[in-house]
Amino acid sequence: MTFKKVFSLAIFIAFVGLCGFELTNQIRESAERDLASVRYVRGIASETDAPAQGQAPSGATPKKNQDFNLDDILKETDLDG
Amino acid sequence: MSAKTVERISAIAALIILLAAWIAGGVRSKGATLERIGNISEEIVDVRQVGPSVYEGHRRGDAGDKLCIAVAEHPGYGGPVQVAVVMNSAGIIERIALVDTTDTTTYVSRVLDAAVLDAFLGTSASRPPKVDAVTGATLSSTAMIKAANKAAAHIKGTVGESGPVAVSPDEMVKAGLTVALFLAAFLISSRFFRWNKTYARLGLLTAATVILGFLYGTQPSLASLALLLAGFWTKGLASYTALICLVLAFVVFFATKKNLYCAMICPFGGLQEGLGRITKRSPPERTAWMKWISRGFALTALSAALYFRNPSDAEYTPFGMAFSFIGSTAIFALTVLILVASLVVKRPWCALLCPATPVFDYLAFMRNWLTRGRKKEKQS
Repeated sequence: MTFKKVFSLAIFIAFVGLCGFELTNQIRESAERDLASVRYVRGIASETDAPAQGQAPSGATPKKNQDFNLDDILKETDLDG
Repeated sequence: MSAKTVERISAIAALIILLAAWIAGGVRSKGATLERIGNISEEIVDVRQVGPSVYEGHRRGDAGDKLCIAVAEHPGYGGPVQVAVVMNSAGIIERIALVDTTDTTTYVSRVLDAAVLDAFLGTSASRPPKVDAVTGATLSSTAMIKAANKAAAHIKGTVGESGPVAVSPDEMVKAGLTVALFLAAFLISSRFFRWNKTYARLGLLTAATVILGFLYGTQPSLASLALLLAGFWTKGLASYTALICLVLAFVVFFATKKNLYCAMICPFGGLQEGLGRITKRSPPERTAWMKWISRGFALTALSAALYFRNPSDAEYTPFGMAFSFIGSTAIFALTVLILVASLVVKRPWCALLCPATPVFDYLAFMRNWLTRGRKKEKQS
């Protein structure tokens, strides 16, 4: 076997390994997202009800905020993004 | 069984697999919006549609506590980005969700980590906040912000059915330059070109690498093909450059019977060839089984992207990492490996695992097969 043949084989195996890993990850993440249906949820009542990315929303149900104060929320909300 | 027969059976099988994935993906995504709204939170129940893009439900255990949910979408880089906002009876946005997106996961994660959508929480639907786009993921973040604003406007009733989205002047320039590059490639490959074709090809490849790669960071990939086949472009895109490049590559391929894109325009190919010119090496040795593995990769990725209706699923190429530093650790390692290997063999990625090769192989095989059949018919 020439050096070029061995080198070609070695880099091909490395390419397949890395691309296979990436492709498997992409498909697994898509399947998980598919089950969860929603990718990202945020709520003002509680941050704990927001599922991690790619996971189904948790069963936690935030209580209705009776004494809602918009000013308090705006202080904590970065309106400039 | 002859090699030709195996190729023909495989070509038909690939077509059937892609068609099945496309149909299954369409069935899967039908009625998904209502299901996704139900999944935003378990405390929202009895969701029903009350208007175009507007839904109504109530809080679990309190039928009098109405919640209004609006869903809107805006074109991102890889297709529509869908966002839902949930407004309570006080008129405040109390939840926001990224319902669906086909943009590349790395870009989406960057926008979500910057808490762009969180800025809408606690604000009034009639006065949504002004949020800036995220640097490095401008198209994805702009799409999310605009979709959230549209959803808020749906609740206010100030937005009807969304019309076509205007393409920015920058995108028009990009598209114009892409067309110009293909025209130059077409001219160089023609018999009317009387100057040195080798130098002209290298010059064009360098120009394309600088313009499409380093300047714009846009390059057609398997994800662009998935985007084209899944039909997301019909709903509008923030950038059409990669798609235009792909369509032109196919048009030129069928017109000239030559793969001019890979030879003269591909920016990543240009990068590898530039490095290879330093050491003046020959291409790697590609065996038949390597060719089949490469085809298997492309088919698997494309089928997954069509089934999940997510073009970024087909993205296992290093193009984003090479020019925009976007991608996972595995893709970073792959990019470094390719660039180092380019000093030892000529264009290693193009020769061994680039999905463009199986795609053009497939098109050439089908074209030859079909045209040969017609020729035989004419002769008889």
